[in-house]
Amino acid sequence: MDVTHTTVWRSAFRYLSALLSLFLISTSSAWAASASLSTDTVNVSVGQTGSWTISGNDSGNQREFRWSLPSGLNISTGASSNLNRFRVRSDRGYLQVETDGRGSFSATVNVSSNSTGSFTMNNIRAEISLSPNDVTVNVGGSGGGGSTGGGDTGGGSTGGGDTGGGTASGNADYTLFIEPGFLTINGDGGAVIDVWGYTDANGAPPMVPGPILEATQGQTISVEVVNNNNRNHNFVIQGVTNDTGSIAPGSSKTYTFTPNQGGVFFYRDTLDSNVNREMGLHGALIVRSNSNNRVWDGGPSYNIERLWVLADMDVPRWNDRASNGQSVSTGTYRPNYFMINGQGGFDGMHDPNTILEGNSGQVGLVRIVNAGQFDQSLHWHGNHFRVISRNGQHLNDFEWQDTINVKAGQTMMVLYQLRGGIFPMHVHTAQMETANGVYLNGTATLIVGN
Amino acid sequence: MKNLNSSSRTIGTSTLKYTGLMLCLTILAFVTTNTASAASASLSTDTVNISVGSNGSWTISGNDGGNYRQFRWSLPSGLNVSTGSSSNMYRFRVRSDRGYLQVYTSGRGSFSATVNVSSNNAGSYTMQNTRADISLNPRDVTVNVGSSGGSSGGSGGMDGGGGMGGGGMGGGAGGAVPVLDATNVSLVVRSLNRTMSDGQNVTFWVFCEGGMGGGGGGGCSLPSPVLELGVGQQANINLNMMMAPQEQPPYHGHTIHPHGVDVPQSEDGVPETGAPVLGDTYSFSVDSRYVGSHMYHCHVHTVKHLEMGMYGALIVKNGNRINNNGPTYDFEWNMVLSTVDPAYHTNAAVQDSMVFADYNPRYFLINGQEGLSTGSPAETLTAAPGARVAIRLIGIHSVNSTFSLGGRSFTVHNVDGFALPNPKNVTSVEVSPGQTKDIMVTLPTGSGSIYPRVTYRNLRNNGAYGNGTVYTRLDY
Repeated sequence: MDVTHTTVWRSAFRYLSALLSLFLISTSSAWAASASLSTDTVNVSVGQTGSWTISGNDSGNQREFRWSLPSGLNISTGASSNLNRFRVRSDRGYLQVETDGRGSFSATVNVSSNSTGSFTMNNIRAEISLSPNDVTVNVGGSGGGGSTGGGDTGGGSTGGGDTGGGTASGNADYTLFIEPGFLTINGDGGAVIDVWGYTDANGAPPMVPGPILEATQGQTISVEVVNNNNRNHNFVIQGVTNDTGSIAPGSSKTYTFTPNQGGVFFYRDTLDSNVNREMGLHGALIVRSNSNNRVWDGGPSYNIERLWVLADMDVPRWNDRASNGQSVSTGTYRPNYFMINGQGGFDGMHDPNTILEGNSGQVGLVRIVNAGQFDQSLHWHGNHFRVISRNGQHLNDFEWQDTINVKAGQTMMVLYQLRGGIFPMHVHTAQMETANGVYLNGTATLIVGN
Repeated sequence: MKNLNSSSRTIGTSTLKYTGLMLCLTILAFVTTNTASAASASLSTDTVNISVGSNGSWTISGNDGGNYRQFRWSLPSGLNVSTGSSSNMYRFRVRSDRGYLQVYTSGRGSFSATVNVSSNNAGSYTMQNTRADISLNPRDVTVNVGSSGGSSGGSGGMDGGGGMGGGGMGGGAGGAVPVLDATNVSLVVRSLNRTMSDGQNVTFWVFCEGGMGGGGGGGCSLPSPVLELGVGQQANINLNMMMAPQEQPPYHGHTIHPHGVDVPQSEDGVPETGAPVLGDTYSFSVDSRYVGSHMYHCHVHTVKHLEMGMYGALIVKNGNRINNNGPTYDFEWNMVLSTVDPAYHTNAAVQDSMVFADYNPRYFLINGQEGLSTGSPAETLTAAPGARVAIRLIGIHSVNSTFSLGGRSFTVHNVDGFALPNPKNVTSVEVSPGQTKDIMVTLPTGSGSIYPRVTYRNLRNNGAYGNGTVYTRLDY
């Protein structure tokens, strides 16, 4: 692996980061972001298709909306513009509209049913002002037959995506494929790092961290893991699953479990003295509550949410050797890369899925997994936050802190109330702020209150 | 000089010469201030006898060895205390809001200050010394007020939260860290050379008190001065860049990040979000939730500048109460935790050096001192039997750490300057980098010594570093 120092990148980034605040200020103060629905009521007859449209302006920030999927109503996506994601997540029970941060956007949703009745799609997430919120679809009788019924719920193939390759059964809620490949850290000091990772399609490049798994408290889900690498691996969700047995190259295993605790959990490969986990085989399971905007059933509520999966890699002594089939002296570990959601700080301070951004006064839930082997002492500018959970344990006293030590292999959840302004969030230990010595390309992101 | 020239090609020649000259001056300034004579002070008496309604006085005099040195005494309830004549004082005042009399020398050698006392109530009042940066003898003054047919009239003593004073870093000679008032303070940046326990010389960058014209008055220390702010007061911290040692762009200049007091973006001192790096005034105030310990440090190229020593304690005070509603303490002890990888302090470790890809601390410090054994503690505080001692643990180190009293239990009251919902009784507590913990311990009623200590631990498996335990000493 080769570290390329391009001065162009260096100066370009510094220039950009110097302007970052201005940029964010100008985009956020440009317009108040808002969205509206074309109607709050759609009237159709049985078997006929109707539609409604959301349109608005996201003020240059990615924004997400979700609606429930009433049983018996068929929902599909129609025309759209400037969206990052627009899809029916029947496996998770919602319609997702996520804008791409280019200003005005629109999305048309098609609805139909084979049963008469009144179906309400409840809005369960709106990151900017939305009016009206819910849509009621009234389906009038017209001699209708009941063929489809049941709507879109089925168990299905989802998250796991393409099961094309050999060994996946395709019956699980999620299918993860273990693949070798590369992780690119952008920006000065960055590198293309040899990794092994879980990914969501057969033969696809590895994802570091692995795909986000989502479940709901008390509901059983299954994860099938297919080993497409040339050595043994396993898959263990800390505090949730117990099977540490190996998955041989070319074979697969399905894990079925029912998480009872709302929160965030750390999944990883526990084999080979942390080498497999360090190489990129790690990720997060989010267990949601049964009520909207509550961290766990009966727990505190929040307005927006982020997941931060932290990692570290000792590229010369671990990744370069392990990927070549050489042994790793695990007694020595001097990581020179520190990632937040698989990125150095340069990307971490630009990635809308990492930056904790929302409106002033909103409460952000941040789920943190430290998949690395170094403890991460994270300092948050702008406000103190409440620590609500450590290692899956809900805490009785929510302590106020501005710095939280997320230990290696542990998880934490905090609630941070946004205030106006742009503030950094970064690790407070020397080398961990860098990518191979380059400042601020380590564990860092931003907190933005509009 | 040659080095400087070759590494500074990008800036103009005149600037270059100016910078070089200033660096030379800075080094000279340090040499002269660090080679001062043994400093000490004494009181004219340890007992003042007066009658009700009449005035008495006592005087402190001594030689500060060319360094700013501070003394504090408690303000007993019912005793009127005021300042009389003085010479070579930087500050001489009654801080009834913080519960102490402050005598702060100006670093010009010999000094004196006369304190006037009176009372409208007969009784015995002891002004207890809670801070002495240099050797002081005697320390406490007892004012005996005899009854004389008593005129009740007067105002009945001091206002404010009073009681036993705040104050109180023990401070052995040479290790004293100045305590400055954050409501109006001006800081400059200077280099400071220290010879470590293994004989190696390490250069630090520190904030020092000083305004226009620099000089700093010899008040430079590692860690940088303690800044104190009363709850509800407004901080005004001016950073003056004159003669500051610094890096080349894009990491030139310095800032102050008031860490933990949640200031607005404009006062946050972060260049990446718009903070000026060539000098600024940081103004903010905090509410009662913030009564407790915080810190401040430079936020330019933090991996370099913070490691170089640009940090200090920032304390929000509520008299001598540990937080807004918590208990009061009799003695207060700031402990700034830091670690030093000497490779970060070399001329090669600038810009995006590969040095910063790894961190190998060799020196482990409390208040800038190594304290390798109980026999050579980093710092000693002399308290009193039965006293309640607050210890403020301010973590600016870059590894893990745990604090203990060697097995004795104590109570954790604040984390990151916020009161815990329920204080915790423990025998050890972790302080992670960037964090603060405020603890209190009640000393036994007999006399003795205990050895508060910090063990520094690595980030991978929390194992203790060799020589990673730093001891202090608490006498009572």
